[in-house]
Amino acid sequence: MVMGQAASPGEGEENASVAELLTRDGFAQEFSGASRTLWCVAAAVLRDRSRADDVVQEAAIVGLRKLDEYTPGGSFVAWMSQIVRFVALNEGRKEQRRRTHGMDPETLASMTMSESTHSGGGAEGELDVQVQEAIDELPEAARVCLVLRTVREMSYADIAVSLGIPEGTAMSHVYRARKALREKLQNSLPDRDME
Amino acid sequence: MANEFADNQEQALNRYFDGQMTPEERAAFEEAARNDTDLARQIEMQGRVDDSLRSMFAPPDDLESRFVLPETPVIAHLPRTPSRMWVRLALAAVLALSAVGAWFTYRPGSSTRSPYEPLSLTEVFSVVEAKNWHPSTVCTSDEAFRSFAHKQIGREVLVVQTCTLSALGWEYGQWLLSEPTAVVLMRDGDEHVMVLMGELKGHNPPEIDATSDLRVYRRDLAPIVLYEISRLDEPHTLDAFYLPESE
Repeated sequence: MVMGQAASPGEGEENASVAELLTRDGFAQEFSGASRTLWCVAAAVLRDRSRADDVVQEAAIVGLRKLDEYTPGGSFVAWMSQIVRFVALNEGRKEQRRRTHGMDPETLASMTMSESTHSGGGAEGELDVQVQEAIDELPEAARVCLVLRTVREMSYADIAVSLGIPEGTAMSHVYRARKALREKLQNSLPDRDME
Repeated sequence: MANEFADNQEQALNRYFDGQMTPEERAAFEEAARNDTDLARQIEMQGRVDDSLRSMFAPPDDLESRFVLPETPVIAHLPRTPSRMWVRLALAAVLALSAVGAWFTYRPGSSTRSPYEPLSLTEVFSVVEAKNWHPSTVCTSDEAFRSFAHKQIGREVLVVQTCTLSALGWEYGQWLLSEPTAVVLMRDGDEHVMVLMGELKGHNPPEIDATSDLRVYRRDLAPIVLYEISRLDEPHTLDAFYLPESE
């Protein structure tokens, strides 16, 4: 029993494997603990925080429907991260199709930053825009790893478990992403006085 | 000015930002940065990038309250009845036999077919399915993938692999797009697709039989072109391909 939510005795007698499955309450408990990581995965895949809520919500519903596919003893966050990624990629594709019809670059830029917590004004706001552009150019896996490492401050081991990739790969993604971002931004940002 | 971290500055930067340095190393690193404007700028830049990342991707404080989980009953994983199992097994056996038959019928060099007559795209796809997506050549590393692509089409190509998306290996089909064409078998979760790669300039777009239900999706990645072939409603892997920096 993984999630501590026992099936009723009657069900247990009927089929022992039922007792090993995640219940709705068990799912809710696990989901609550993983939601911030899942949200970051969604935001990083989409490159857009404003739609991450919807993606995670939809992924939760998909996860609930597919409870019987969850492998007892496996990593809940890894399983849900896969679902979040699929839902986010589908959402991204739909958005891409919508964007190909009659939207100008200014509208697109404002959509991408639409719910940023940053005020967006001044030099720092400009930096955010440039960082956003540089992040958009990163491969998806690198972007997700970088966000989980920097924003969630997850260890490489935890990132690896969450995404189902080797720890070394997670580390390599972050290293390369950092370097790519610095190189990209060094060429595009004006020099600042160093302390 | 060179510093003691100059030989492996990139690694030192990552260790610094990952908090993996000892206090002594950290102090030495920061001291080195005071005497090395380039290193100082790298640290400054990375710090600003990290701040921006946190600003842009930090989950909202009230995140947990934003999700509503529907009250659905637990889905019981009941064992399949024996009769249904036998039907499925029989169906699988028939399909496997058909697949083997198709392979022997359409394989290159088959006696029923001229060895000089290449298979159509639909036929190649059928063969791949018949082989249950086991590629003729398996690549076990990025480097192997990259060099095989170079050998096939004269261009180095890489694919970003994730927990669900992976390149299974290579298949024959050098004639499908242009001379030469590389054929990659890809998996995205439970789905499989075939990707053709060739020179963008002067290639012949793939042709699908009118009766086929195969879908074709295209991505131009100059100087090469990619076509994803599948039965799926949208492309699954084209975005994952990229040309390494040395290209």
